[in-house]
Amino acid sequence: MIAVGLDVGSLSTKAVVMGDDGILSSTVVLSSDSAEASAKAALEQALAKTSGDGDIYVVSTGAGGKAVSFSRQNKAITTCLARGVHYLLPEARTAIDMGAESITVVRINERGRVSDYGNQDKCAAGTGIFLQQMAKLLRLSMEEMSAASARARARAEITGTCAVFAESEVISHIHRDPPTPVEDIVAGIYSSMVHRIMVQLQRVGMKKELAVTGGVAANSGLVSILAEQIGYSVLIPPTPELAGAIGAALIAKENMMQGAS
Amino acid sequence: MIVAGIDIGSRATKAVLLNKASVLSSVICDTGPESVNTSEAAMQALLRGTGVSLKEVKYTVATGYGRILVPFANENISEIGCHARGVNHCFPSVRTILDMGGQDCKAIRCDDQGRVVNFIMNDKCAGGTGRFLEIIAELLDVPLSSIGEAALESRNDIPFNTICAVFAKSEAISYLRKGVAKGDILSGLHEAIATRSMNLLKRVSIERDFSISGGIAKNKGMVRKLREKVGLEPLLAEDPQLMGALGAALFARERGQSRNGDGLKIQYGYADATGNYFITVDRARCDGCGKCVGVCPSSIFDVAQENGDRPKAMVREEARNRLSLLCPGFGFCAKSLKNNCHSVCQGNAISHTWDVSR
Repeated sequence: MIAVGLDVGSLSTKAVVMGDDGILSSTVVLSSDSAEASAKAALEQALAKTSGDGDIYVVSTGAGGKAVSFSRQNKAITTCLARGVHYLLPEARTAIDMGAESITVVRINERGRVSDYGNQDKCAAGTGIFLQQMAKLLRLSMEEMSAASARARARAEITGTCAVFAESEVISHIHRDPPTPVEDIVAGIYSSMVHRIMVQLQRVGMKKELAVTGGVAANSGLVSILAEQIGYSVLIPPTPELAGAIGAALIAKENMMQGAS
Repeated sequence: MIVAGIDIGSRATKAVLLNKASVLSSVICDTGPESVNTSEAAMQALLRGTGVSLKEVKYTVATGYGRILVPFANENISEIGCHARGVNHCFPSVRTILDMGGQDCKAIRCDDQGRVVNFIMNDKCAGGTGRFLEIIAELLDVPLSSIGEAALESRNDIPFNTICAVFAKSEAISYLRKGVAKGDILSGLHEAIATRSMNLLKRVSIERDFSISGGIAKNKGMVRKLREKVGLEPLLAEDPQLMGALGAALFARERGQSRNGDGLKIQYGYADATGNYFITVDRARCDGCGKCVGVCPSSIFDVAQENGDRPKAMVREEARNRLSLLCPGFGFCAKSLKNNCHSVCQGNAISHTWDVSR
């Protein structure tokens, strides 16, 4: 049997195949309207990369995890994140997951279990969608945004309590006379996102070490402003977007072993 | 006497021209990028065809988002007070008002004189504002003016999990792809906004009668949803969008009239991150009795002669820069002191205003 973790997110669906000696393969596909179809596509692509065959044991998680008919178990994303981060970075005690439509903070104990968590998924401000919308507005790629923020001399004031209003704020910065430098606007956007993340962090409380996961963690400019706000450096696993799926795969493997014994 | 009220909102600018007895004209136009130009254009449009020249307008009160940038205004007053005043003029029985604007939404409680008793405002989130409806109307390709009616035709509300404009947009897109009727999507969104507005209203407590003002009050679908939620028939003015400008014009009429005597009102105050606090002494109404000097717990008042005039009340010079520390706010005095600067003043010359910053 093969253990598979499926994290059906609002923007992308992640699959991780776990063998006896660790991760065998993984894929990330864009989520479609149907969670079932996205999950199936991610699963097939991930399995195609491995040679193993036989029965599969799927644990699903994420926003669309419940809708996956072929999963044996659906687990909360917080549980999976804690397990995944513990696997990748055993010293981490707090995980900040920056997803496409949510910000989740999980405090993790020594055994990789959740000790507390906070989640913000009611509002787009500070999420990946927000960042994507800003990138589109500034006509920059994510990499270009990170590079720009490194050159910023100042941070433009962007309240960022609402993604819609933040867009108007950015537009007025562009049209100001003289216009606010685009670097400063990017730094301001990041800083407004960090503010939203700090709100969640302060609610749950943070404990060293801190790990940052989720697709948004790939934005180095954002992460460096976050580290500056927190006051010390943060850890980023090599594949930050896979943390949830890895956790789900670990749970699948554990369930299989319990079933076998 | 002819006076004007101008309400520069985030999306639309409204203006009302009043004489002693009635409304002479009114205008609604889009707010441009510059408030100064917008206000001048609105004023021109307001006067057009009335035979009144700008000089003949004796007093102008500006309100709304862009109120500080109106060059010809004599005074500016927060839109919350103006909406309450305007609605009170049309319906004196109203005690609860929901003002639904282009970029914010406010629940206001007022008394029988149209004075604001309590209010709560959402201007931090586009959910439930005109902007939200604009985004959805554009997405569904339905004109903004007919989304309310389209929602009314629905038999089957689509429940929305979110009030976030960005998330609602992506939810709406996925419903569209599934072939759900536009009316059903719109009805669900109107329901979500009505629920949110209801939460604002509950926080100020709902008392009869109920009215809705602002541009969204013209949306029949929204009015029906709110009627169902609140359980009261909303009293709607002929043009609910004009309530702020009407209130401003009514204030202008009152202020213009009280400007007899030496016609001077002096404001003492401060501004900080939370807003502007002003103590206003209307020198025309002050008889120099000095009672306010004795009752103020922080002794901020004094009666003195200035400019060779008769002695009048004023805020002591040493206190002017420290008002934020000295004046506990009139709300505090009104509750805890039997005699305060308002109650002892025969001519009602002293007023306190608290203008929340945005």
